[in-house]
Amino acid sequence: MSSRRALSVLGLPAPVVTKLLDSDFIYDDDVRGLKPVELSLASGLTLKESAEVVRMSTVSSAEQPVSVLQIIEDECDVSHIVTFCKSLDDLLGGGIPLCAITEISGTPGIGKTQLCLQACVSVQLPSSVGGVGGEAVFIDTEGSFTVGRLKDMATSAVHHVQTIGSDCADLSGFTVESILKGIHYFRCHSYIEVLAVIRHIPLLLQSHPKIQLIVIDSIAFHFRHDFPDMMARTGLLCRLTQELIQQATKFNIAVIVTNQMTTRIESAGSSQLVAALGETWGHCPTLRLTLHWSGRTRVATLTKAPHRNNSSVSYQVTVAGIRDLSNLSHEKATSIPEEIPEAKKRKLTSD
Amino acid sequence: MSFRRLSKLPLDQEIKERIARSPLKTVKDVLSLSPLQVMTLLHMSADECKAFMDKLFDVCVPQHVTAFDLSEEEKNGSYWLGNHALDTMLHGGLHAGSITEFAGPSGVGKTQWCLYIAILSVLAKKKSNCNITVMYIDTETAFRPERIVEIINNKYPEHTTEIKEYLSRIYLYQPKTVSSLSEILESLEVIAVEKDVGMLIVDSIASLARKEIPATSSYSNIARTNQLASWAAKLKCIAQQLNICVVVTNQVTSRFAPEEPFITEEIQAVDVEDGELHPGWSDKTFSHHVTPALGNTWTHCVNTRFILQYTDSKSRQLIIAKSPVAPFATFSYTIGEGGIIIEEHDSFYSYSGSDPGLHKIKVQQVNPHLPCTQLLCFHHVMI
Repeated sequence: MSSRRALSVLGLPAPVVTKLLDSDFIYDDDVRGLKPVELSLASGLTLKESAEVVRMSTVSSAEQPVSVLQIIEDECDVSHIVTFCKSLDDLLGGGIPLCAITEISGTPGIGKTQLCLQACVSVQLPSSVGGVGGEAVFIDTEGSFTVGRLKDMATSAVHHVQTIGSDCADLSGFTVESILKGIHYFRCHSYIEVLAVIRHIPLLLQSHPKIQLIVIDSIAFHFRHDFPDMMARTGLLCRLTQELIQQATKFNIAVIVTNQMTTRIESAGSSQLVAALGETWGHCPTLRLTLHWSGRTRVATLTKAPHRNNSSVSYQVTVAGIRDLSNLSHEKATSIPEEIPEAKKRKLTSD
Repeated sequence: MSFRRLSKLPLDQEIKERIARSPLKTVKDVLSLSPLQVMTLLHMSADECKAFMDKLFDVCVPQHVTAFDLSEEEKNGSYWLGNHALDTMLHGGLHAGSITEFAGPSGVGKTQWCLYIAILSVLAKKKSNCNITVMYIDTETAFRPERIVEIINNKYPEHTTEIKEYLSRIYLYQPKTVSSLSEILESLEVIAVEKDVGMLIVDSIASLARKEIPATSSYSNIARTNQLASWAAKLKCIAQQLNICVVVTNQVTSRFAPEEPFITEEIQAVDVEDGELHPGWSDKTFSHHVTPALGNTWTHCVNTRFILQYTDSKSRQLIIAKSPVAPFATFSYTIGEGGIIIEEHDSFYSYSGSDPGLHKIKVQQVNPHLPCTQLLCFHHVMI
């Protein structure tokens, strides 16, 4: 609540103030709540002047519109998190976008968790090599989060960064240990705990302001078996999305949500695999990416995006993480050496 | 945390009285509702309701750790399988806190793997020097104590003197119905803490579910899927909180489907008519093959899936079909007096793969001369 201010101190032009005082409007709360038309009739000011008075006197908490030019000029240099797979980044328009919810759905074993782990590593890439330089929150409902795998990806990322940016100053802080320390992990055993963590994020941001990625792997697991009432489930999912998108836009965060697949029986009797959680949920994320098998290769298809065409690309999961499919069309089956060989890591395109 | 009673939380007395008059008893009851519903039930204003729900959410937030903190825990919580390549690929063998599944046709060795893993766990020397126990839930009455004795005598002859101690650390349940299995899982947490359980084996999770809830109609299908998914959630919760490794076994089911046209000439199929090898794309022939049972949702629930299949009458193959850490790989093994023997040669891995829910499994051939439709292992045909 603001204290009462006299209209004369608000910085209005003198003739306007005189007219207002003549019509018995002295303090700002005399004017508050009036529409410009009403004030204009009461005080004899023009509409434009009345609008200015009303605006100056109200504590404006309503959102002000911003011009599109302003948005483009303000846009920060990096607004995407790279996935280290060039074709996937191109498909998404640069990578996983900030200030949006990206849903990744797919059949089991296709690489959803791998993509999430890769994003947790990529979000920490320093800005001098074109990264976001932020930290990640991993909300785990499935239990597939393995630190050993994360270490493989982190080692490869550190190696990549050192190869392409050897003369920059802030790269010395980018190590496997720092990457591991920059991933905040929550294991949730029910959907209530998932909701609780999401509500807790603003508090977490106060102590860890560098967080720029939230991963929920997967949103589907707890919402699929515990709910007899579909409408309650949809309501909870929509409220959850609302919380997430508010946080995403306010704090410049990217949100990745993984989903499972379910069989939908078509009218003709045939069945089709579609993303779980229903049609209403389908409207909640900003971007939808579906991962599936095509023969022996993994394919990612963009099925909903406000600014990209729906199309597909192939990718593979290697020891280093998510990478482009190499030019050798199929990976040779080789016998297992003592350790996973270093040579399997792809040479990355430097961004 | 979400099961905590509202009456035990530090709330205003007035709010507690209103709660007592409403049907809400636990934290979960309140947080499952929308704010509007809570306002109506408890006669609260919007601000009051928001503050109340925020307080309850704070109670439910799980523990915050960084990945760095987890890496130490992970090293202590893994169970080596005894083969260096396999253990390296799995980053330490079987991990606590996740569900590992062995799927395969009958007779391929799932129970043998379970017995072998039980013995490995009991013999494992843990850094903290406390010996762990194994919970073995046997739904098919396939457990044979004399086999355990045989394996230890043959594989670890130096431990024969302490065999009584090891046997006393393997506990057996033999539930006969779905509801008794559910009851066991409910009571498991108490027993797991009392007896220091480190490994939980369920052999097999499929048999009870398939016997009692046949997937005849879509309604029963959904009921079975829900039951399995809630078992999976319960198992994962116990596994993570109490640092237990969970191993389950699954059966196979027949799938009668038209051959997918995208199979290229790499994978060769035996044509039914003349028994000769042909390049495999035939969108006209129907293939009868077996895949892991229990459906797509169950495949999502398990963290790691090993598929066991026959290569010929003597040797079998373990395929890593789904794993958060390992690529698609195959290992050969045989079953001997000393349990499972993993062959050192004949192992392959690759970065391509296939859907772990639809993987075509080779079954045991009774008469090798009868033609039958089957797909060869992929590694024979890669260039």
